[in-house]
Amino acid sequence: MDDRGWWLLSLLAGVALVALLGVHMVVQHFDAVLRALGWTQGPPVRSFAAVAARSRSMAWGVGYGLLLLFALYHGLYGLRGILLEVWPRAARPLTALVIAGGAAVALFGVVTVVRALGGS
Amino acid sequence: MSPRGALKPGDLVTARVARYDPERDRALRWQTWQVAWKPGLTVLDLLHQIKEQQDGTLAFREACRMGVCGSCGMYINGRPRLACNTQVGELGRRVTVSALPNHDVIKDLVSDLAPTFARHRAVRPYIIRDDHAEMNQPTREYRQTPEELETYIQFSGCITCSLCLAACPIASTNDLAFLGPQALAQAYRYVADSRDAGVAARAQVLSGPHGVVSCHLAGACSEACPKGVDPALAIQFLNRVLLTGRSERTGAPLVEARPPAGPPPADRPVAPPANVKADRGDGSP
Amino acid sequence: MAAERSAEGRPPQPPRLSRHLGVGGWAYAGRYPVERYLFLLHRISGVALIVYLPVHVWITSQRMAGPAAWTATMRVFDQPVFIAGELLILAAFIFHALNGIRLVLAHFGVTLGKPVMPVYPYPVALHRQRVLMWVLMGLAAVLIGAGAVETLIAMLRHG
Repeated sequence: MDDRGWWLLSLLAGVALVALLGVHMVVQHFDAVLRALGWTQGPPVRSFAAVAARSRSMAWGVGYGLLLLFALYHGLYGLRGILLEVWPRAARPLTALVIAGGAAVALFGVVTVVRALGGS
Repeated sequence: MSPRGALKPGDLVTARVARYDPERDRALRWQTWQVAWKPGLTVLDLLHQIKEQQDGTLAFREACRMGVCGSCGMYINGRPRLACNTQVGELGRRVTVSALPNHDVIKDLVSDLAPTFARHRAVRPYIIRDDHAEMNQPTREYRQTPEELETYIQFSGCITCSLCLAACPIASTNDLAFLGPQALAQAYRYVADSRDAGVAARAQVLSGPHGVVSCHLAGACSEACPKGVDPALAIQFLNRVLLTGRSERTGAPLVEARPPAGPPPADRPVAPPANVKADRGDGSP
Repeated sequence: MAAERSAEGRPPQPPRLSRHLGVGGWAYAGRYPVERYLFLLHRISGVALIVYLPVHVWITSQRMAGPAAWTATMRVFDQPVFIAGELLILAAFIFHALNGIRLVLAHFGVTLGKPVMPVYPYPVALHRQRVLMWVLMGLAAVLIGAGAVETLIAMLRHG
C-alpha cells in the first residue's frame, strides 16, 4: 500500500473515532447530563463496580478494543507525519519506532481487555 | 488592508527593507528609506526609486512589471505578494519588504527559486500521451468541450512565483523533497486535462510521502496566490481524482497512457546517407 | 539544491541565507485567515491526545489490580489539577474531531465548490467552508462549555 493508502486509512480511522471516542467521552464526561436524561443509572461511572461491569460486557470490550486500535493508528500516523516534517531523512527509524510503540501499547491494551472479559 | 488616512501625493512613505550581502553579512539587516508617494506607486516602483536615487546596491528581481512573469515575489507587510501588483497606497505609510520566507536568499530581495522549479519538474508538468505518431505528425486537433476546459483552466494560470510555497507551513521545515502547493496544483492541472493520459506516470510521486498526503489544509497557499490558481482546491481535487480515477468535473474516467510498444519514432537509429562519411568520434576528419 | 548546472569552471558561490521559518513557521508566517490557525490547533490537539493515550491505557489497566488498587488510583486522579487536565483533553478531542470532520470533507473535495474561470477578484475555495466551520466551532464551544460545567461540578464534589 502506498503512502496515500495509509493516509486514507488514517482518515477512515478518524471518522470512526468521532463516533467511538465520542461515545467514550460522553459516557465518561457527561455523566450528570446522561443521568438527567435517564440514560444512565447505577453506580458512578468511574467506580470499580461500574468499570468492572463494563469490562465484562462483550459489547464494551469490543468497543474499547476498536477504540484503542483506531486511536493508536490515527494518532501515531499523525505524530509520525509531524516528526517527518522536522526530520525528513529519518523516515525508516521513525516509522519503525511508531510501529513498535503502537504495537506495544495495542498488545498491552487488547490483552487487558481480553483478560477483563474473562472475568475477574 | 485599508490605510489609516489616505496618502496624498508627496507624502513620505517609510520603506524598511531587509538587506543581505552574501559577501559581508551573516544575517538580515534592515535598512530604511523615505520615498515620496504618488498615485499608482507600486512596491516595485518604490524599490526602483530607492535603487535609482538613494542606494544603487539594492538587489531585486523583476521583469514584466504587470503580474504575469512571477519574478518579483517578496514578503511585503505580512504577506507574500508580487511587488509589481501591490499598491503602496493600500499598504499605508510604512512598507516592510523582505525576501520570501521558506526560500534561501541570494542577495537582498532575490530568493533562490531553483528548488521551486525542481519540485515543479518532479511532477512532469506537461501533457503525457502515448500516440507518438499523431503527436509528431499531427493530422487533427485534440478537441475539448468547454466543460473539459473548465476542469483545469483555473489551475493553468500559475506563473511559478512561489508565493504559495512562502505561505505553506509545511514548507517551513526545509524538506527539499516536499513538493508543495505549486507542484501539486500543476500536477492536477495536467491530470485533469482531458488531453493528458499520464495519471499513472505521475502516480508514484503523487501517491508518495510528499504528494497529496503532505497537504494539511492550512489554506495559506490559496490566500497568497496572486493569479487565483487556488492550489489548495487543486490538491483536494487531485486527491479525489486519484481515488476515483474519474474526472472531478465531467465524471469521465481518466485516460491512461498505454506503455509504448517500441521507442518513439525519433529515437530509432537512422542510418546515415551513403554519401556522408561516418564520424569516427575522435575529432579526426 | 542546484539544477542541472555543471560544477566545473564556476567560481565558488557566496553563501545563501536560509529564510526557512522552521517549526515556528507552523505558528506564524504572515497575516493569514482563520484556517491557518485551525491547522495549528489541529496539530496541537492531536499531539496532546496521542501523548495522553498510552498514559491513559496504563492508568485504566489498573482495573485489573482489583477494587482496592482502583479506588486508590482514582483518588489520585480526583485531585483538581487532574480533573482540569481531563477537561483539556476533552476540549482537545472535541475540537480535533469537529475540525477533522471539516478537513475530511475538504480532502475529498466536498463543500469546496467547483473550479471557476479565473476572473478577478479570485475566490478561495476554502472560504466556501466558512459557514460549516462556524457551525462546527460553535458546536465545539457549546460542548466544551458543557464539559467545563461538568468539570466544575466534579471539582466541587471532590474538592
